[in-house]
Amino acid sequence: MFSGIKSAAARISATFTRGRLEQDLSDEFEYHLTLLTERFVSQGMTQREAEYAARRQFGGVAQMKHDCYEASSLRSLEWLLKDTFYALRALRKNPGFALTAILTLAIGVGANTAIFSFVNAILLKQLPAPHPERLVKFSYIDHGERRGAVWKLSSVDEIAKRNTVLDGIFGWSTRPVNFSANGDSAEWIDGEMVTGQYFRTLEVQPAAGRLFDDDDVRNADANPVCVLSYALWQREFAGSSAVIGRTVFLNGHSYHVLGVTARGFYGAALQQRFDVAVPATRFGDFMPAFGAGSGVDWLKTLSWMTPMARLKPGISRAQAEAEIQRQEPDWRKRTLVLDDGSQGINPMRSSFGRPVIVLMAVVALVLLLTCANLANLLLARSQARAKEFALRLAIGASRWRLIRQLLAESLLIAFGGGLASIMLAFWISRTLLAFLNAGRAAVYALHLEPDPAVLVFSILLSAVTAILFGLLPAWQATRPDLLPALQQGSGASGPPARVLFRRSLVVFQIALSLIIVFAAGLLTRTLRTLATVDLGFQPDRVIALNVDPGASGHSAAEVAAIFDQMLERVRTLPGVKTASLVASPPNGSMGISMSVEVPGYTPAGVGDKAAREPVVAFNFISPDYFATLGQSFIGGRDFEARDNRSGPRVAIVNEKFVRHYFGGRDPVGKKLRQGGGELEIVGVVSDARDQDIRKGAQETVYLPEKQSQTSGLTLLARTTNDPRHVIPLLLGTVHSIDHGLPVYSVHTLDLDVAANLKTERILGYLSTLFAALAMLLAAIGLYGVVAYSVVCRTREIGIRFAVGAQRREVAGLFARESFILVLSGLIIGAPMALASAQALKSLLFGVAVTDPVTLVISIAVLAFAAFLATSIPLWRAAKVNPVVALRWE
Amino acid sequence: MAQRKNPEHRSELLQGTLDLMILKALDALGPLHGYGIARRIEQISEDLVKLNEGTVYASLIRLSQNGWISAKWGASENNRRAKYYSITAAGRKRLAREKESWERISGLIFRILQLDEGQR
Repeated sequence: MFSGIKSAAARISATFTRGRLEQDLSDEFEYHLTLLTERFVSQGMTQREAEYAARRQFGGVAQMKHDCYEASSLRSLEWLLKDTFYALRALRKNPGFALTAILTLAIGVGANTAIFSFVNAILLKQLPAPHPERLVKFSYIDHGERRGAVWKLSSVDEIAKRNTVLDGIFGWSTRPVNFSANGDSAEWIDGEMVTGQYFRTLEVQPAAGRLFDDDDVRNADANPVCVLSYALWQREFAGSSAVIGRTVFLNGHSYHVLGVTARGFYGAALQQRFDVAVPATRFGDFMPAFGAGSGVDWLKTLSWMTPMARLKPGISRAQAEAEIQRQEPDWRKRTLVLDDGSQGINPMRSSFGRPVIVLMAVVALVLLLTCANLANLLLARSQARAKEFALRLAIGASRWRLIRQLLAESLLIAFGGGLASIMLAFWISRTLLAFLNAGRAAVYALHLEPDPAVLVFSILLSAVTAILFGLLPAWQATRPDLLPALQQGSGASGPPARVLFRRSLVVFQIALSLIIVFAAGLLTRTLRTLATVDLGFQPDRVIALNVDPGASGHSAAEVAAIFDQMLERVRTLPGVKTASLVASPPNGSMGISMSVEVPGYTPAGVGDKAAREPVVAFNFISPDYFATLGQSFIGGRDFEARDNRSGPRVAIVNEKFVRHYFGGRDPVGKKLRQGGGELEIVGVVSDARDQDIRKGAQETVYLPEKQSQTSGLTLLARTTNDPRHVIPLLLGTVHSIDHGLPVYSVHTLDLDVAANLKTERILGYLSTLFAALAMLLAAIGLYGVVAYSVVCRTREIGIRFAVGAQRREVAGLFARESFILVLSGLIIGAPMALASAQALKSLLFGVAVTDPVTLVISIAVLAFAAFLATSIPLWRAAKVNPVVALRWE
Repeated sequence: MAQRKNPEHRSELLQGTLDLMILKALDALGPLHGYGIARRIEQISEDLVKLNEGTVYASLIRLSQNGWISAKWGASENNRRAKYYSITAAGRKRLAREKESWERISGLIFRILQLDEGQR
């Protein structure tokens, strides 16, 4: 093998160094002739006679040189072409085989490439910034729990001013922005609110104009500026440099365009795109409730930014941690941790990292199955050609030459399969991404564009597969034990070793399939359980309407008035039963959590103040929220119109909260302390899985939205009939209040619930698909072996019939054979399946890793597939005509 | 190759035999130049095989391309420039394998010939 590659390389180089070779040969030949002549002279010839004799003994110099050239170069190029040509011809002679092989490979490699492109986009890619390894993210260890840091703008500024270990630090937050180039038509784009060192820290270059710095952010109140992304610049302004300095409208406020970021920069988050960046100090424009009119300096009090920083060269994360911790005494009670930020902010890593790895493992197994099938296919084919090979070996063909030809066939298949797989991979990843984003605005802007890592992966995979499935059969088929191959006709079933090899392949395939089928079974049952779990509320027939009056430039007071008016009118719409406002709709993309003090509650073992203020889920709602969702009151009352800004602060808690913090005693009338004020509990409601369906209900405190600060509200409406008929009425109402009010989204709540189970759904569907594929591959493998065995033993079957065997007995003969194969596969596969399912542990819900029912079902399904696969050859065996069989061959 | 074109050879050389003889010669005697290899083959085959000595060179090229022998220019006994060939580790392995398969094939052919005589 190696010498082959070496010789090929030597030959190619020889083709280019022919002049050198000619000189060398002339020298060598001359020397040889001289020595020969001297020898003949010493034997007594005259110089002339000796020269003549030497030439005769040496042979024609020109002829010899020609032979040398042939050996060195030309010949081999010819062989290479010939190999390819032979291989093409061999494949064309048997298109069924070629097509099967190419398709099998395309599916195996295509699935792997597609899943790998997700692994790459989620787990491997780094931010397109220089030296991404120096970027860091911040988190805390708080009571043993790790939490991502969310900071106030002032904290970011403090560190930026004083630190000695960082080459820049910034805070970052995203928000949909209502964009208009000239004040008339508007569209939703992705905005980033960032602090002054954002671009400096990420080392982004401008494509036009300049990017803002600390001064621009500080002076943003007087001089609002923004930076556009390259994509938006191209899309909206056709890349014209005239855009620099002009005014655009963001949420109805005018901004000057300062510059455009370099092509390829897509923000600080790995799975998002950004269209426009604005100074964080302008956040009132994007979250009007926290704007200047609210009377509170929210920039100093509200934590809303994700911090990131760049370490100075040579500073380790530990050094920086210690330094920052030292500078900020406030944080000493919590441990600050710097994390690798080379991937930027990567929310999908935690939620999709594990599922994607599991899928990768599953498709890798499918690829192994594919390889086994292809090996089996090629082996069967080379067995059919065994006689031809033996003959060619006997008349002097080198083994290497035969292997080379078989490899050429495999490589051609690999090439065809590789091409098809790239197309397939592209299609699969597109479909998968569309599925991830189904029903909503593009939540995940995964950067799946073909990237060197993915292409290299695909090419390597195809080549490795080709060698794996091509070399083994080639090796087997050309083993130089000529005698048996020459002796046998096509009647015997080949040397026992080869048959054994093919059978072990089938056993291996069945074992592998069981692993995949079992995993798919567990994941599907998880999905079933989650999809049918009691949510504690009824999401069907509830419409969620997301409008953002702030986005068209309304002040906080106007926003509140618009929502009141909207709620009022929607309530009276025909077909609407109840309606309500909520800050964080059930199963939405974000929840609110805050700390709360429960007087009289002390958790065991922890004494400090922070621990006495547990962090729980909060939600801000209007009256009728629970009626709209279908949650019921256990005690107390709902919020009412009097629970507004001038009334006493009140709260409703859920059952879980009561169980945990009040030991199940009635809390109505009791007080909670939150944010320096007191809240009176006025009601208790039933639990709902409204945050994360898996985790179940969380301890939750509900506050009236009138007594809270929220950055946005969603209108919920329960309809009496099909919600689709009510949606146009809702939209009409919104437009009648403010014609220009942009609607961010309108959909029924069950879409959000479904979105919450997206990961499980993808895992369940894809693993089932791959399991079916695996079973199909194993079944084909089994079918091949049994069918081949029947064909090889046709004569024997004929004899058996001739001496009086029953059809049932003959079929039983082969049934026993395949039964042993299937049984061995299942026996080997079962412990492997149970062991590898451990890796799924964190992904399962409501089903044990070693669930015996799932295992039994998986085995039954596989056994049934095996039965189907063998029934055709068994039927053929039973139908063999003894007269024909005896004349077989 | 050459033997095809020279039907007067006393014994047809099977393809690969010359390669094998060269490997064996280099294995037994250490580095040799082309002339030395030709002499060694002449001596071993005791005139049973008569070959055009130039054929050795095509063989040498094939062998070195496979990495079984290596070549180096050096000075000869009488201080002339000559190319010396020596066997490599891969060449020794190849030789051992060839030897084994050769023995098997010659055994097979021997048996086949015996079989023919027996049937006659």
